[in-house]
Amino acid sequence: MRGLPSRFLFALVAAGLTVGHASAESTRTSLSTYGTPGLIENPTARSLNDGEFAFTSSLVGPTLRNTLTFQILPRVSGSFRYTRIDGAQRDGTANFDRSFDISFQLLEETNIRPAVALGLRDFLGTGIYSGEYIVATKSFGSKLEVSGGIGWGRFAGRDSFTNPLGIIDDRFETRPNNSAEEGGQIEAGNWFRGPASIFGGVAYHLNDRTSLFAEYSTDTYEIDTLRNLVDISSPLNLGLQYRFRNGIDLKAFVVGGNEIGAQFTYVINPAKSPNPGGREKTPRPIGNRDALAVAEWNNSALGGGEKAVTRVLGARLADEGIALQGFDMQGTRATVRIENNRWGVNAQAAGRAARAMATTLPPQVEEFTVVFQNNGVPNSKVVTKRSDLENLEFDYDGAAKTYDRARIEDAAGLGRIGEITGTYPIFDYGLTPYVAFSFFDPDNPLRAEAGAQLSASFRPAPGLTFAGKFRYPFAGNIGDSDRVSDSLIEPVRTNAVLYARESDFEVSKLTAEYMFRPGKDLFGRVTAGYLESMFGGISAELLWYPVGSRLALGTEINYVKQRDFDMLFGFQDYSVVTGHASAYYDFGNGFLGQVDAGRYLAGDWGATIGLDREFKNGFRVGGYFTLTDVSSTDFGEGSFDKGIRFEVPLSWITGKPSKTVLKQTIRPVTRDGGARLNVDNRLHRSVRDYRGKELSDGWGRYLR
Amino acid sequence: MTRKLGFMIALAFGLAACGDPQGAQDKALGVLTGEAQTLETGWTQRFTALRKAGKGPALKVTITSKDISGGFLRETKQGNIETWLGSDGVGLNFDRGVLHGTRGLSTGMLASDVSASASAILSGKSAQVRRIHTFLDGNDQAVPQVFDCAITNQGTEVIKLDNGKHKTRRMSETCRNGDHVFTNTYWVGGGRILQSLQWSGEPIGQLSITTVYNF
Repeated sequence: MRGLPSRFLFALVAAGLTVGHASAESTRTSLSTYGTPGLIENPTARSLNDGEFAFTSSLVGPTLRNTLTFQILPRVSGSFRYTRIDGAQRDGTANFDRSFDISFQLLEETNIRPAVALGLRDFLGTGIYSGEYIVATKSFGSKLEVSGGIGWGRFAGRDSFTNPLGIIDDRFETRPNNSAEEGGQIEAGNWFRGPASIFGGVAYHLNDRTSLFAEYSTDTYEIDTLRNLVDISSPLNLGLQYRFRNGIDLKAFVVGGNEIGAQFTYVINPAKSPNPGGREKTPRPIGNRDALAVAEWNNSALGGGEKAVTRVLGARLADEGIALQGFDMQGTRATVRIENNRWGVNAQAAGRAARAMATTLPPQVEEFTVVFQNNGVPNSKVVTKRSDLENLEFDYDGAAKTYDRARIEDAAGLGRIGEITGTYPIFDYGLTPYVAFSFFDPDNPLRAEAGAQLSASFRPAPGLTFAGKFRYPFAGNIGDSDRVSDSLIEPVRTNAVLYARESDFEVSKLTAEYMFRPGKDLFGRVTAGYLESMFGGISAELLWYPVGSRLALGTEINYVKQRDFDMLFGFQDYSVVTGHASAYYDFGNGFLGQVDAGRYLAGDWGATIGLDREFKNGFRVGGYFTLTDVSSTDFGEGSFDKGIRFEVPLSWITGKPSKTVLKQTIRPVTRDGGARLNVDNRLHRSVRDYRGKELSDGWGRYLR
Repeated sequence: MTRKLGFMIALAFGLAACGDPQGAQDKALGVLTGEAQTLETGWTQRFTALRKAGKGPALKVTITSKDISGGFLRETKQGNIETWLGSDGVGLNFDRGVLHGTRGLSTGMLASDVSASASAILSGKSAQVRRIHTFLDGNDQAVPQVFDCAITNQGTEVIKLDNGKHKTRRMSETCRNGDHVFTNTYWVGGGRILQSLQWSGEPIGQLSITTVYNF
């Protein structure tokens, strides 16, 4: 899969204009200015639908909050928020703040009982919003919803009283003010401590589209008020929301009696792509195989034979965006070795390949084997009976039945048998625009660079690839930042500004890579050269991944040197041996876990834990954190490395078949601790799409 | 011949476009993501061959909610199942004229069992039947849906097609799966469905399907 991190935002913005498939209007949950289920500013005990993904941008006085909320599980949601408060710094400039929330729905609403939720706001950040709440929400008829709750921390700004939890332990009565300077640490010691306040409010739905909100808020914006940035003279907030069909909500409100604000919310459901059936062209009907006995390529009297069959099959596969790299036909069996260049769902590629065989090969061939190759290296194979394809083509349960009757096996050890002459060398290149982003620079939270990118690859033999990526920036302001590294450890990532400033034409990557199969269920990779924009050297990786396994294990070792800031061919003095042992586990319910333990770029030792939720259509949302032996003080702002990440298949947006996946990782702050080498084609992700679990996830498209 | 070409050209690149209200956006995304422009020409050759063979009749299919049309020719027939190929690469499968599957149309009707419906409609009998449609949902899962349908004979009606008037029997079929209800209408003449209004699934909804003799 091609990953396109830098273009992710662009594409999503473009897509956002038209992709709108959230839940039906009337069941959509209203979100607060904090981007979590709520009224205006107050939280409610509602939750988004499982898997929904919400983007909220709200403006309250000088405060702009941008929040991403993901309903991780039916009752658990997580949020990441980036806030700008104009004039909040002592020198009058804007203050930027990042915060994470997590919320749990403890009880679902019933006829007699309200829904109840518990939330932790800003539990990792620098703490300006840090607060905890328990809230209950109950509907009365279809139009009225009433919420009320108790809150601590930021929620206890008005009419607060002694913490009732003091009954359990006196220490709950005071909230320690010991936020670590770096922020980013879990401040569990503060939770539910100090004074508490009661908040509440109502939502009234005039119809499916329009809702009114009124709430009693206990947030006094204490610090912003002291600095005269905001005028909060009343606890009463009022709001009006209009809901569009395409997933967008617009809200206007008055906060604190005088501050007028507005909010934009956009909710998508990753499990509902806007083009469920896809827009690919209809495949060739399988038809009656007996008619193929007289087809000219199968008829030796007309010059037919294996050569002619190979030519016709190759052309038909090429038409499906599939390269035929090997073909073998013996008696009743035939095998094709293919490289899928078009289909994001490999099960569909397997189906299209088998269909091309069924509409081309002579009638005596009954067993079809489709071998998936990646970079020319065999990965897995799908074995199908021709008669099953014929019998199930129009069966309403064809997807399930073809899956039950197919065999998916490992394809190691095939060598180059049946390789079609002329397959190698393979040369590929592309000239495209690129946009690279730099997030959360305190002076300018979104910096970007745009230019032209040339990618080229040359593959003289299976698995052996020489590849280069070159960039020429036309415009950008990443290098304008004055954020030079203040790192207390080796500056392996914090010199990004210097790289941007001192480079012009840049060699982003220039590598020789060899991928191979050391044995059954094993995959190997060795890459040498300029591996990424900041490091060059050699990288070797081994992965064990049985075809139907939930577990995969891998190990990687690299020796790398830091590249010169001009991003050409020179190196700096710093070099390091870095590497990890990794375990990948598919929990089976869409959740994928990954643990990488080892040595990072700055020489620090530790582990990264990642958890992603992957929808069967390939849409993926996840997060990770890394803890190493670098202390939080030495790490600097944020205390440790963490981030959230998204992947959206381009075909999810357009409905057209494509292997392109838009990817983006957002780190609240990039530091030098827990930094990993960015080598291309790490094995697990390059291999996984062809293994059994992924093939079964996409099998609905096998006969598509 | 001019007239024949006219029909297909007029209807070419119709239905496929229906899932493509943002053609410009797709192109922009393609450029931004460096997506190679893929050539899917196999269906074009197949369609050209069908047009040259000149065997009819053809179908004019319109998405009623969008008023977008496409022309279709029959490609294969296996038992009761016919596959029809559109001038824009869209595919529609029918069981004796009753919609059985869609390809390339955003809507994800994979395959169906509509044999009981087709038999009742062609025989002109009012009947209670069951039909199954398997849809590909937005998460790439094949989801079978069972509908209970009431078929009623609504009497004779003369309809006008491009080759003149036809005396038909109008059959109506109302199908239900929980809260989900759709109604199809078929005009049957000469032992076949000459014209129909049929539900194709979300997000496309109803298709209007008309037989065209001079194509």
